[in-house]
Amino acid sequence: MKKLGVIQFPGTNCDRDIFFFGQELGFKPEYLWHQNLFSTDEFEMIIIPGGFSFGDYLRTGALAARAKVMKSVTEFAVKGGPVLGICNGFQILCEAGLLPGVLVKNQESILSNTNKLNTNQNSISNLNTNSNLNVNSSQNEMPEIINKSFTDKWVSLNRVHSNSFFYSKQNNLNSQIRLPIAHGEGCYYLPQDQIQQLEDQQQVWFRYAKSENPNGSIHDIAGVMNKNHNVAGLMPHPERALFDWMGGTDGRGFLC
Amino acid sequence: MTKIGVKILNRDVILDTAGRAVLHSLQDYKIQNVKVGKWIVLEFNETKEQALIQAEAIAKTVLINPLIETFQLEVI
Repeated sequence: MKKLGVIQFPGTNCDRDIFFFGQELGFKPEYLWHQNLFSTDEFEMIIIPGGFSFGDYLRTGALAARAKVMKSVTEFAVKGGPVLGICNGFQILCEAGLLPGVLVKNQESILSNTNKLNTNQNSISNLNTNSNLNVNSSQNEMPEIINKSFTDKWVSLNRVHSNSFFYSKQNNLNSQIRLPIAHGEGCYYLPQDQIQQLEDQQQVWFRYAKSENPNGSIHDIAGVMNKNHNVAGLMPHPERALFDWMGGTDGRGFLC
Repeated sequence: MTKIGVKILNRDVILDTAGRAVLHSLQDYKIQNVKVGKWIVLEFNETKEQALIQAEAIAKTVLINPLIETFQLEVI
């Protein structure tokens, strides 16, 4: 039976859901504790579940991304093993450098910030000036940005590219699906030059349906892949859409 | 003992919700904007120079995400 590794950090809270998700879809799940390394040859697939790992201290996913178990996850991913991060798992994979970008607080539209900044010539483009604390930005007008808090609801998603290891193998999968979201920091962000590269390299996996972007993500992005398409991250929760009584069954396609 | 302070602020593209909330409560003052960041203190048993080198490495690899944050070091 195919063995599925389910990573657990302090504060992970979707681990049992993912365990059941794996069992229901024909896998043999096994928990992997954050303080331990694991033998990468023993697993067919790794999932990093959602939650609030390490209490979201420092930044969401930042401390989990530097935990010992992530050395094994990285080794597994580099060998081509399939790794899926859901919600906080997506944030962890971004912080670990296994996926591009970062997830920040939900807002109306992060693109409106970047447009505003471009016109203000207060550019974020020079990423090498890390130590340049920009105190002069207090001269800017306050941009019209609306904060959005934790959001918990069902959303419609469109699969952009079917080249991911996950949600790709069955031919009869719908390209438009509905899944639940539950997050406060799901606004995906990459600087403009890098977002174009992400699009060109077909690394955008899922987008929120038009006018349904719940968190202000740039280009309506809900999920991305790495260049080799074996590592993927998704803000919505497929493990919460397994049966009709849950509200939908589209999550079943993710582990086929 | 050398103490190094790490000042961290969000890049302007990132919505500073705490800064905006503080700004709204300071409307009686002549103030244009408020930014709220983080102040992290690292303690080393090293010389200032060695501590600064280590602090910079720690800041870049753990304490900040360069996509969304900037930092500045200060010996305290």
